[in-house]
Amino acid sequence: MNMREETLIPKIGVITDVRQDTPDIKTFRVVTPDGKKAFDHRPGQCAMLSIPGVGEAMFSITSSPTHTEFMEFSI
Amino acid sequence: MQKITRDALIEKAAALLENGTVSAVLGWKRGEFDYDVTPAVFNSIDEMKEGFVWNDFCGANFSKYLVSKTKKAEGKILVFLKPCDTYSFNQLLTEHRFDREKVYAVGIPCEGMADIDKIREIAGDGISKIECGEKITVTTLYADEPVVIECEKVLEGRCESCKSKAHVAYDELMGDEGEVLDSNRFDEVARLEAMSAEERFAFWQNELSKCIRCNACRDICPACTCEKCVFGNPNSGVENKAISDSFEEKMFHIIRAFHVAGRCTDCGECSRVCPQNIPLHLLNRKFIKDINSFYGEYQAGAEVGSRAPLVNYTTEDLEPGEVFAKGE
Amino acid sequence: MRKCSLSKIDLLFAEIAKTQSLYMPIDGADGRAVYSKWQAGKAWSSALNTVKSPKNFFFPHTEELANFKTAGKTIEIIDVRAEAEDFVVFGVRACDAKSFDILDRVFLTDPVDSFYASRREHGVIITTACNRPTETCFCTTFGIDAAEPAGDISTWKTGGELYLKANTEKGEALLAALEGVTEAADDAAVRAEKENIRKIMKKLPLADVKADAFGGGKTKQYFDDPAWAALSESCLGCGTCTFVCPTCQCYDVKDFNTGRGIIRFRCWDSCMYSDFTLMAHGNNRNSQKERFRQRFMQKLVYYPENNDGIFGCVGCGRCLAKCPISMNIVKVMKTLGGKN
Repeated sequence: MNMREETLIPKIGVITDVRQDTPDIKTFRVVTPDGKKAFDHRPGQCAMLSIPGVGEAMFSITSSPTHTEFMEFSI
Repeated sequence: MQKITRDALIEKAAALLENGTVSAVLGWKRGEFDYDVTPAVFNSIDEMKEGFVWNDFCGANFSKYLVSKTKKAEGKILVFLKPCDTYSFNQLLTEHRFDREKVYAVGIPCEGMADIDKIREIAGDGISKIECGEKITVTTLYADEPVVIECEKVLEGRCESCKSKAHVAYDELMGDEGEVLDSNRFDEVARLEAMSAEERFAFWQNELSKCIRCNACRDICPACTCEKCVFGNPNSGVENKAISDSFEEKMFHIIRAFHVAGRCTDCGECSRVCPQNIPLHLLNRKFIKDINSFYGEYQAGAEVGSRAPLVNYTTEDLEPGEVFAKGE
Repeated sequence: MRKCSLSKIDLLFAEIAKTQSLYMPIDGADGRAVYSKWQAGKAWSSALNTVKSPKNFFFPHTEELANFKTAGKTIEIIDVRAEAEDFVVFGVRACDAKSFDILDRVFLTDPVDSFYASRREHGVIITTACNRPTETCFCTTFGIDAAEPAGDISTWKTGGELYLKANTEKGEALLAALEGVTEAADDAAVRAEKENIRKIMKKLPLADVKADAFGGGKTKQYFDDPAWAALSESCLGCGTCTFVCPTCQCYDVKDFNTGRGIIRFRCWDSCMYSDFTLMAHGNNRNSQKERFRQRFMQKLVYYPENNDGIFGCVGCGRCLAKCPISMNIVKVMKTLGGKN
């Protein structure tokens, strides 16, 4: 049972870069703990990002799907 | 068994609509069965003739709807108020929650409303028709003969301990002036007070554990008109839709009782709407009883502009230490 | 077909309860039926139905999803899932039994909700036909037969006996284990009782409510209907309808900081609430009319559109009985569908 994939349980992401794009937008580069892209995605898709204790919310994946090493979120 | 008839009310509304005093009527609308009456706005005499209903199932108190209806209304809205409704009307006015100029209030007499659950207990299931006359006649699918019930036997709990037949607010009154009654509404509270702390805890534990956090009590309560409720505010620390534990469930009701303390007019709507039939009004009545004994007799909504004891300092106010001691 | 004398039904319950938890409607202290755990001495309620539906067994009001522990910049995710234990829910009505199908289509399609799936796998559902439907019942509107409830095992109460019939493998396995407390039976009495029930269903006041006017592909037809304004006029947005409804399935995910760690849980949410699906920019439905419309369009149009024409309502009548202002899906259907 614990082996079963559960989409409601988040996975850990590691922020490897933070870029200040505009005065109120930052872009975060996220990879898995072992340095890979968390999952493949298609343009327009989103991810639920959470901060424990604060909650989770949906954010667009702003990097191109063609980047295979990482995922970025402009928030 | 109401003294005033549906026809009389429609006639009154028709006259006021016709002469332009009001442009809409807040009244009770017929449902699928005789007892599922919905509050509705009627915009014409025809609509009223078609759907307006007045019977022993018109317990809904319209005062709170005036908060939203007068915001948007262009003309005046006619509202029919039973005696208990008028107290909420005044209380909301005291709190400046609606525009009095936009309302034409007609006080109507009430002999008490019926509780469909009590009727079901006596007459059984499969109700196909209920006639409210001198007595209540219930026709069901499973009984060969209709069951005739005395109105007093199936009165709503709050109507059994009705506190007043007097209308404390109206532009016009239909029927005679009623009187404030010597009700027994604190008897049940006294019974709970006489219990030991453990027994009382067990009583409330049993009742409040049924709570499903539907918020019907809060949403129907005329004293709960906050635009943003503390229970809907993520930063309050008590925001929750979850039934996390029994403590949480009790806290919701105790917090709400405190929030309305001194402003609750004891209209009884909270208990009427609870889907789990929790006697919430007992909590509020306990608060009223305490306020009466600590600060002197006070009836919220009896007059517009009266200052509730909890927001009014006088030198005769009970010392906090004494309040605490009485609670022990 | 097996049967068990009603006077000996405790033996049947005791046999089931030997190996797993048994739940059924039992009258509480206030005389109202609530799904509770059976123990010797407790009686199966004769009430038609409970206020809170049995969906709670598979999709509980509150459920812990995961725990988090944070230390500095690291986060640890703790999977707190545990395999559910076997249990039996007895006395489920035809309407509620159908609601499980509706919820299955939401939770068991990809991606599978493992919390719900585990409970569904371990739960055995024993339904019972409705001998005395009441005026708020309208399951027939949605093609449900109160005389032939689904479930792993169906039962009928008639002539002092409880008749049992297995419908699934799970049901057969359980019925086999109950051979010692049941006898073989023919179905004559059951057939008669079914006829009886179906006759009563035809006489119910809501028997002629039809769902034909609704279904997939009708969004445009109903979305801008001016009738929504009057229908939603006195809606309080309290959420009672949602919480008593056996098919409502929306939930909110929240975090709770215990001081020693963080619990992420989900709890029932209602589309009637003003903060439902609240987003950074605000909300997409800002009036009660829009929220009210959403709930009924979901049940009558959107759900059937996405689920092979199956409606999102089972006609259990709870919203008819419990709405504080007596608004309900029947009134909506009659007002909107009556024009077509």
